[in-house]
Amino acid sequence: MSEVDMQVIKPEMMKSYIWLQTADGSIQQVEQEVAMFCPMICHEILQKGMGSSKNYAISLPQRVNPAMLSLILDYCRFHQVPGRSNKERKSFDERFIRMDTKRLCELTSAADSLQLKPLVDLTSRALARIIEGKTPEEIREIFHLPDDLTEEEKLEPLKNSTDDPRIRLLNRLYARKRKELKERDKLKSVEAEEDRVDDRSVDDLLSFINGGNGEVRKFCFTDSKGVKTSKGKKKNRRRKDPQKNASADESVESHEKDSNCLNFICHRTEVDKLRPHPGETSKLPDEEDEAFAHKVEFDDGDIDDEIDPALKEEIDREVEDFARRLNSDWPERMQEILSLGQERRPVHFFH
Amino acid sequence: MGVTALPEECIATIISFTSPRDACRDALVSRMFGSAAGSDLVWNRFLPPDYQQIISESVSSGSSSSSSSSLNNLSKKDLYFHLCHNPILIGNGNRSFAIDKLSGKKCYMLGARELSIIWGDTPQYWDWTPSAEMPVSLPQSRFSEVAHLLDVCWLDIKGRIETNILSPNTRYGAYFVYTFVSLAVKGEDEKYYNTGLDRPVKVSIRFENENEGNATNAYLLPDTPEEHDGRHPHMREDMWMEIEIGEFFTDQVHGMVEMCLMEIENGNWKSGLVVHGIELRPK
Repeated sequence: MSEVDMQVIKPEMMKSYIWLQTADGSIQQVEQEVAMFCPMICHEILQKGMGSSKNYAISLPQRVNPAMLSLILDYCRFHQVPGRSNKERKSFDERFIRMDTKRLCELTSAADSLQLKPLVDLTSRALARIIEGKTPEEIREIFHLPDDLTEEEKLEPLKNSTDDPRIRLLNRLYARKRKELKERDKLKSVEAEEDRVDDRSVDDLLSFINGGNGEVRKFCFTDSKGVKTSKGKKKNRRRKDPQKNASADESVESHEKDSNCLNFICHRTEVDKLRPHPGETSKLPDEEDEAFAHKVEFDDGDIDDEIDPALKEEIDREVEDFARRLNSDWPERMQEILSLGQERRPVHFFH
Repeated sequence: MGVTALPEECIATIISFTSPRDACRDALVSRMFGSAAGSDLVWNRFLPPDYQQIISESVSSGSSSSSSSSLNNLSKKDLYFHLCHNPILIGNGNRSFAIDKLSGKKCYMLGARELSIIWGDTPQYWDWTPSAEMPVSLPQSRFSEVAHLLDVCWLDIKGRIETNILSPNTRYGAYFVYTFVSLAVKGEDEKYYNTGLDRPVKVSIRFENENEGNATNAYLLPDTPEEHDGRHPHMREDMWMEIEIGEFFTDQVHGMVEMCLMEIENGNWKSGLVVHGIELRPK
């Protein structure tokens, strides 16, 4: 008898198969109950009547290549069996996800396109364990991600809701760094090379901050409340001294250009926080103040020059000292900054 | 290829399985990662599961920044940090709720009115000061009243909380939050002369159906020498003082936990203590 005859004679004995086609064109057969475990395939079968024959094979999303499909089907084949205990399933899962990171990513992507949520969760948790505790640079390396945030975006000032002097200093460091970046850009365009004495220490420091543990700024858990930057606000009232280094026009021009660029960045960060809330008039002024304060923070770098030189020196010294302290006892500093808001200082003083 | 093939939602799912700290740090990885790291999907998972119910039951304190409708308008990330720094009043205004920043677990504080203070209703022993009438030199209270100890021999303060409202499977610490009125008094040596609290009090903690646990010595005065054996106070960021009463673990088994602070052995008169409440937060 031919195979076809056998299928006709004993339909209950024969499993039904579903035809699946991956993006590369290859077609395969899969047991129906296994394939149906994937919601997307299930939908195709039930709603569109696809998959019953080779010619009507279900086209799988592009993110599902044959290798991934095979893995996914293994997963489905195991889990669709109703009788398994939780312990068995867990044990299978633990063995199943033992694969390299790249495959885990591919698998997550493929499972996601097939809407197979349990598998997406499983692979996501595995990937989460991989990225937990890693620095941004390490994460970029693992996943081959582009470093596509601009320098300015990375140097966004921290929101200093508790007026923490450490955050103030850090923001000042950033402002200085931003200023140096601007200067560097200016100099590049004029093709002049200058030795900036301070440059290296700030660079080192910041690459240490940004590279080694660059998440410091984000560790300080940016906050939604308004920023108390009374210092900054005061500074903003000073006008740029036209007798400064560059000519008045140039400085005004570059200032405008920068503030346009910075306003945009500022705006971008504010967009996240500003939600349309019709009834909340009392909240909006807060947000505006915050936006204002943020812009002021950005301007800090420019206005530094106008400070009385003695004061500026002192500030620079503060900054350098902070940088040095950061460098020297980094782990303790990290702990301090991390525990911001939870710090319990033993009382050895009292008024 | 790697993660760049993953849609932002997948990245957000991955990040949601890490921690709040990771999510903040991940904002610096790349543009897409940063966007995923700040998404509601991620921060919704970091918030306590029943946060919406808690917020909706909160006592509107009058300031619109804490009313439940304005809170619901915030992004989940903003809401998370708001609740970290701005405890909301719940119950009948005598308890507060906040979130522990690192873990996202629940923090509660029982205000003085929620505690059982022996002799608390006798005006010559304890005075209930409205927070608005507290001396400016003392820290602000988040509740409407604080308990001011005028004079008492039998110092006995207890607090109770149902462990099922706390975050499960968490080690909690209970902290007595207080200050001294005599802080406001100038004059170095006479600061704590009159409090009668230079000797230690006894603190203990137990689950309701258990026998009394061991009590520990606790020194309420801040400049107690370190050699004295027992717990010592710490200054909080909100300028109140706190001392640990004890710790416990929230498994699903136990119900009510009782925290106790007592000084009933010495027989001396004590005064000057201002009670803010008892705070419970993850250790």
